[in-house]
Amino acid sequence: MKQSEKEYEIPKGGSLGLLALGDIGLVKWREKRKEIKEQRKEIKKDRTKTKDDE
Amino acid sequence: MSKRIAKKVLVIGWDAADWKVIYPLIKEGKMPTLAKFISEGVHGKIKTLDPPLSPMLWTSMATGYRADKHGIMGFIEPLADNSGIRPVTSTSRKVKAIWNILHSEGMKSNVVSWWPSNPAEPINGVMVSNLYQQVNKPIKGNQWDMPKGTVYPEELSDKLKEFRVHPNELTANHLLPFLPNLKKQDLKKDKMITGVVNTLANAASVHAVSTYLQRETEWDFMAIYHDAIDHFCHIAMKFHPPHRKGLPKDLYENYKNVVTAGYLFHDMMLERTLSLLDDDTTVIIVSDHGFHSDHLRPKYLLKEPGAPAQEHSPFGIFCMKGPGVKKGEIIHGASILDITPTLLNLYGLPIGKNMEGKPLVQSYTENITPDYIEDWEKVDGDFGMHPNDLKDDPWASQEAMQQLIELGYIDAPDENISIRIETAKNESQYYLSRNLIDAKKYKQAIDLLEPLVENNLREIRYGQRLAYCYLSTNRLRKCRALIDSLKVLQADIEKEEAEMTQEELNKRKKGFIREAELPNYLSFIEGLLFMKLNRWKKALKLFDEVSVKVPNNIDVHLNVGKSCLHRHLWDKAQDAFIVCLSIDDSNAIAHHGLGISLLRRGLFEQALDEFLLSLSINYAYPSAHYHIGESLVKLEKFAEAEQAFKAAVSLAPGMTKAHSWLADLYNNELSMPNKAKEHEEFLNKNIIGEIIIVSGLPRSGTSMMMQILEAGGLNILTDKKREADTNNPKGYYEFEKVKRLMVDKSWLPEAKGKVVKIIAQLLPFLPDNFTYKIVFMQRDMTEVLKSQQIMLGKDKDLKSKAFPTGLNNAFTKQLDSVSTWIESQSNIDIININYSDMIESPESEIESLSSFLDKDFDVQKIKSVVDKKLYRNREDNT
Repeated sequence: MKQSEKEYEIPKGGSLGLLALGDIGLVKWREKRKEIKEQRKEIKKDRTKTKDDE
Repeated sequence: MSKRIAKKVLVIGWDAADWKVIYPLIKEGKMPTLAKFISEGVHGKIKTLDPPLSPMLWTSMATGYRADKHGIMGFIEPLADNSGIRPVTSTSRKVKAIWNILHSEGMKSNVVSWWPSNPAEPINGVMVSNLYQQVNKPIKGNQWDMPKGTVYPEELSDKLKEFRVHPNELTANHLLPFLPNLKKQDLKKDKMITGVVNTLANAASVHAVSTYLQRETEWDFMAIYHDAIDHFCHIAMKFHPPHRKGLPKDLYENYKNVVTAGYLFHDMMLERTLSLLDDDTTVIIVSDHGFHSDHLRPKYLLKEPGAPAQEHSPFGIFCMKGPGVKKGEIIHGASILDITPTLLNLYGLPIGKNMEGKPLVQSYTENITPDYIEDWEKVDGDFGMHPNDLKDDPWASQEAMQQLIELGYIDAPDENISIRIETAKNESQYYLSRNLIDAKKYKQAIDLLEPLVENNLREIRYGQRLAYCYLSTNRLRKCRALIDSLKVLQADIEKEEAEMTQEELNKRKKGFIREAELPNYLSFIEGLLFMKLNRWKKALKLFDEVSVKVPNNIDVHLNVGKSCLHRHLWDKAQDAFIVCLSIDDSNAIAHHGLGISLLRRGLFEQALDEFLLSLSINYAYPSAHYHIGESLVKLEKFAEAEQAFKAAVSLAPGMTKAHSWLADLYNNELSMPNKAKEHEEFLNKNIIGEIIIVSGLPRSGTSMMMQILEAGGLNILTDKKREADTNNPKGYYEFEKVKRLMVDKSWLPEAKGKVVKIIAQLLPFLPDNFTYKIVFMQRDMTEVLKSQQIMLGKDKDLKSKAFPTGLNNAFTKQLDSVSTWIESQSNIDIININYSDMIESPESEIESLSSFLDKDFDVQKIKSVVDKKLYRNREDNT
C-alpha cells in the first residue's frame, strides 16, 4: 500500500505498525487477509479439480 | 471576548500515563513521537482528584466540575427500575461538557470513547461512546453487535462498526512484543493473556475509528480517550522491570514487557494521529492520574470496591503544543479541573466562574486575560444534550423505587441484588465524600458520611474519613471520640479474625484490610489530631510508626517533617523532606520544609536553592518568599531580601513578620527610613501587640495554667480581686475587666505582652488588632461539670440527680462553636493542653508549651506548681 509516500509490506498476520496506522492500516490488512483467503480457496479448488481430473 | 488562540483542538486522553515510565523510555529513544511533541510544546505533571476513579475524573476533565456537581460518582449505578446495577452512563451527568458548550457556539466536535459517554449525545459532529470497542460476545460470521446508542448520528453506525478490532483478529505478530513467551503459554488457562489481547484490540478499535473521523469529517474539536495504558498497567505493572522479590521468575519473564510495549504502541498511534493534523491544530495529551511503577507499587490491594485505584499515583501527564503555546517548557501546578477552563480559553470562550479549575495561561507565549461567565449551566439554548426525559438521576430513581417498595407497591429485588444496590449506593456516597474532602468541602462531606457511618458501623473506612472531616473542621472532641470508637472496633475485628481459619479469613470481604492501611490511616489521623493540639511529640511518635508501615505515603513523611520542624529536630526534618522528594520531586511543601531545615542549620545557600525550587513549582507561596528573604538576610544580600519580603507581603498582605523585616531592612541595612515608615505604620495600625491568653471552660485548669506561666517567668495580668478559697487555694488569677469584654475592649492594651485569663465563651469578642497566643485547657467534661457543681455547692444534687446532660450538651456546643471561630482567625495561634496530662506527665506538656510560647522554661520550677492533690474530681475512665 502507499500512504504519504511510504510503502508498507502487509504481512498476512498483520503487525502493530498496521494497527497504529489506524483505519487505513486495518482496512488494508483485512483486504490482504481476504485476498489470501480467496487465493487459498482458489488453490484448494484447483487441487480438488486436478485430483478429480486424475 | 478573550482572544482565541486555537483554531482547532485535539485532546488525547491516555488513562494512567505517568512520566515515571515515559521519561526512561524517551531517554532510550523508544517514544520518539512523544519526545518530539514535548520539545515542541509545554509539558508537566497534572494533579488528579481523590478518589482516582476514571469515570469521575474524565467527567471532571470534560466539565470543569467535581463529582458533587457533575454527578458521576464511580463505575456503576443502579438501574432505574431497581432490578440491578449497570455501568455508569452519560445520562447521569448533570452538567454540560466542553462539547456541549462548543455545540452551542456552532462548533463541530468528534468525541471518541470518552468515559462515560453512552448513550452518545446528539452533538454537532460525531460521538462514539465508550461501549464502542467493548467485546460482548465472539464474532459469529460477520456479526458483532454494537450496543444501542453507541454512535451519534446513528446513520454512521454501520460504517464506524467496521473499524472495531475484535480480539480474535489479533495474531502473534501483534502480541509477541507484549508477550514474548506467548507460544509457550497456555492461552486457555492464563487470564492475563486474555486481558492483554482484549486491551490491545480495544486500543486498536479506538484508534481506527478516530483516524477515520480525523480524515473524513470536519471538526473544530476532537477528544479521543484511550484506557489501554491503565489496563496494561493493572494487568502487568507488578511485572514491570526491575524484578521484585517474591514474584515467580517465569511469570516475570512472561509479562515484563506488557507495560513498555503498551506505551510504545501509544507512541506509534500518536505518530499517525499527529500526521493527520493541520499545523494550526492545538494538541493536548493528558492523563487523569499516574500509575505507580517503582518502589511505590502496592504489594497487595485492599479487598474493597475500587481497590485497583490504590495502584494509581496522584500525578498524571499534561502536554500541549500548538500556535501560541511555549516550546520546550515545563509547567507546574496543573490539575485535571484545569482542562475545560483551558479549552474554553483556547477558543476565546468565557470560563464558568463556578468551575473549580483555572486556564493554564502559563503555557502561552503571550499574556491572555481570560473571560468569565457566571455559570454555563444557567445559559439556555441548544447544547446538543440528551432531552430531559432521557436524563436520569439513578440515585434519585433508586430512592423513589425504594419508597415504593416500602409502601408495598412493588416487591423488593432479591436479597443479593438489593445488597449489591445498597453497596453500590454506599460506595458512591463514600467516593463523593472523598471527592468533597479533596475539595476541602468538609461540611458537605460530613453530611454524607455521618449517616453512612451510622448505618455501616463496621465499615472503618467511612469512619476514618469522617474523623478526618471532624479534624479539619476543628471538631476535635468528636474526632477524638470517633477515633477511640474506631480503635475499639478495629481491635474487635482483629480479635474475631485471629480466631478464624485462613480460609475463613480469605473469604471475608476485607480480609487484608486488617494488615494493610486501615490501622495506619487511623494512627495517621490521630497524629494529625495531636498536631492540631500542638502536641508535637505525640504526633511525631505516631507519624514515625506509620511511616515505617506505610513508607510510600508522602503525606505521612510531610507530617513527620512538619512535626520535626516544630520540635526543632532539624536533621530529622531534613531526612523526612528528602524522603518526600524521593516520592514526588515536585512537591513545593517538601522543598520548602527542606529549605527551613537547612536554613535553621545555617546552610543558607542550600536553603535558598530549596526555597527557589519550591517557588518554581508554586510561585504563589508566601512563606517560601518570606524564607527566601530570611536566607538572603543571613547571606547579607539585603536588596534581594527586600524583594523577597515584598513578594511575600504582596501575596499575604497581613504577614506581619515580613513587614517587620522590611521595616528593619529599610531602617538599617538599606538606609531608607522613609520606606520603613509604611511598614511601621502597618505594624502599628494592625498589630498593637501580642497577648497570651489562658482559656477554657471554668474549672478546666485555667488557674493552674496561670500559675504555671507565672512560674515560667511570664508577666501575669490580674487584679487579685477574687481571693483564693478552698476551690482554688492558690488563687484565681482573674482580671475583673475581662468579664466586660463583650462591651468594653478599651482595657486590652493593658494586657499587651502579658498573660490574661479569659473563659472560652468570651474569646469571639476579642478584637483583631492584636495577635493572640491561646493556651486552651482541655478537661473531661464530666470532671468539669462535677467541679463546677461542687464550687456552686450543688454537689449533693450531683449525687442524687442524673448527670446534667443539658449542661454537658450546651457546653460542648459552645466549645465547638468557639473552636470553629478560632480556626477562622489568622491572628490566633492556639495550643490545647489536657488538664490530666499536665497533672500526670507535666514534662511533655511543658515542652509543648515552651515550644508554643517560644520560651525556655525551668521545668523543675514549673513542675513544683503542678499540684496533683488538686486533681480532686477525676473520672476513673480518664
